[in-house]
Formats: sequence, C-alpha cells, structure tokens
Amino acid sequence: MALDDPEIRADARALKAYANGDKGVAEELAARHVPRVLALAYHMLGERSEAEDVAQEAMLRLWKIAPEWEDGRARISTWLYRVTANLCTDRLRRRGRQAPMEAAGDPADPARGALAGLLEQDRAAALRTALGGLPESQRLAVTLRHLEERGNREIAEIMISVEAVESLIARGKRGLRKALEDSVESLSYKDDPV
Amino acid sequence: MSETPRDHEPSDADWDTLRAAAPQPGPDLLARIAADAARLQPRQRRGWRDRLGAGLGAFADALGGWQGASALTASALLGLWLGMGQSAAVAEMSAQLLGAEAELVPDDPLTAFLVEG
Repeated sequence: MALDDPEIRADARALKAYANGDKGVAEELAARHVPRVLALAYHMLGERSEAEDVAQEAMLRLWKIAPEWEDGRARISTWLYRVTANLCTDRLRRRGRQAPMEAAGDPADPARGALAGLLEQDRAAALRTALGGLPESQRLAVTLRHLEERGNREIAEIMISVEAVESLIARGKRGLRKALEDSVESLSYKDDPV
Repeated sequence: MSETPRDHEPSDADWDTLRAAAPQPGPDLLARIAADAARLQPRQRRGWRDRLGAGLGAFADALGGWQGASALTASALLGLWLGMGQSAAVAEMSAQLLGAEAELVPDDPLTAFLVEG
C-alpha cells in the first residue's frame, strides 16, 4: 500500500482537521480504526475488557499526537498497530505470563450444520489456544499476517525488519502446527468429515 | 494415510472463524473514545480574515464602538494630511507674517541653541 493511497490521504486530512478543531472528524477516524485496534488487542490479550482499554489508550495517544502529525510520516493505521502492539506487550509482561486465549465465542456461521459448526468452533478454540501459547513477538507477527491480513512490509514497519518478520511468522506457524498436532486427537484436523 | 505437518496447518477457514470471533467496538467504548477526543481536541483555529476582524473589533470596542473608532481614524487622517500636505503653505504664511526673521529661526532646537546661545 503506497503512502498516496486514498484511504491514507483521507486519514491524514481527517487528523489534520481534528487538530484544527473541526467537530465530527474524531468519530470518523474512530469508526475506521477502532475495530482494527480492538481486534489486534483482543487477539493478543484474549480478554475483551483489557482489549477495550488498550484500544481506548491507543486512540488517546492518536488524539494527543494529532497537532504534531506530519503528512507522509507514516500511515495512521500502521502507527496505531505499533502503539497497540506495544501496549499489549506491556500488559503481557505485567501479567508475567503468556496468557491463554479465552474460550471460543459464537459460531461464525449459525446457518451451517451443527456438526460442522461444532468442528469449526473446536478448530477455532484450538487455534486460539495455540496462538496464545506462542511467544509475544511470534504471536504478534502471526496475528498481523493471518488475522489482520497485513503485508510483511507493513508488519516490518510495525515490528522490526522484513527478514525478522518472515522468520517470526515461520517460527510462529511451526509452533502453531506443533500445538495443533498435540491436540489433534480431540479435533477434526485429522479426519474432517465432509 | 500418513499424516503430514500440513494436516495441522490452520486453513483459511480457521483463520476466518478466529477473525470473526474478534469483538466489534460497542457504544460504550466508542463513547469513551469520543469523550477523550473532545477533551483533547485543540481549539478551532480561525483564518487570518477572522483573526483580523476579531482584532479590529476589539480595538473598536476599546474606543467606544465603531463610531468612536471611525471618528478617531478620520481625525488622524486629517492631521496627517495637514501635516504633510499643508506644510509649504504654513511656511509661506509664516514668512509673510514674520518677515525675514522667520528665516532666521532654525528648525533644529540644537542649532537654535547654538545660534542664540
């Protein structure tokens, strides 16, 4: 995604307008970015209330930096992801443990058959648990790549270098496979009925 | 059938399911964020026309309103016109009234002091 992307330009304009005192643009920015920030925080922390606190804090930092924001310096989304990742890392370190993810939520598609839905939930629960068991940096890289669907280049801007990101994702996926292999007996990864 | 590591690879559908399980921001969270934004938002910056208008308005108020300011401005312009445009006529009139003596009075006070002692 280039820095002259229309969404990036719209973001920069909205943030500038916010800094100039225009009313209503904060809601526009929040509508665009809070869902992403909240999702990343949730996948990293596994708890909704904590993820909401992180999302609020990340947006608060955006409001504070708005008057000094320079056009073309960075994408607002990338900046927010980086702030959110740092806030999540701080919280995880304060916890002093790699928090397991919460139990699975609602089925993604209630219209599907009960068995398929149950298997889907089981898979999601196992994947969530396996993801929660990864080291922080691997979890962040895998989450950004596979759940937030960011490219390696943007992940590198959020985290470190592209090479390190590729290595982290590869190690993270190996870790996920190992964790899923350990729980395969109780899941449908092995013999998935069609 | 032998089992390979690929059998334990999460599928796109698995990632989709996990992605869909992420919460959406509720009205409480959005309200908290909007309140933060309103509290931290800088005051509205106005253009130079607005700032100039506001400055002139404050000046006029200090002089008793636009009528007072207008009268003062007119007086100032009249004084300027008299001072610059009529200086030659005043000098001529002075010469006629006072004769050559007027020519002996220097304009500069220091010179006058030196001449007159």
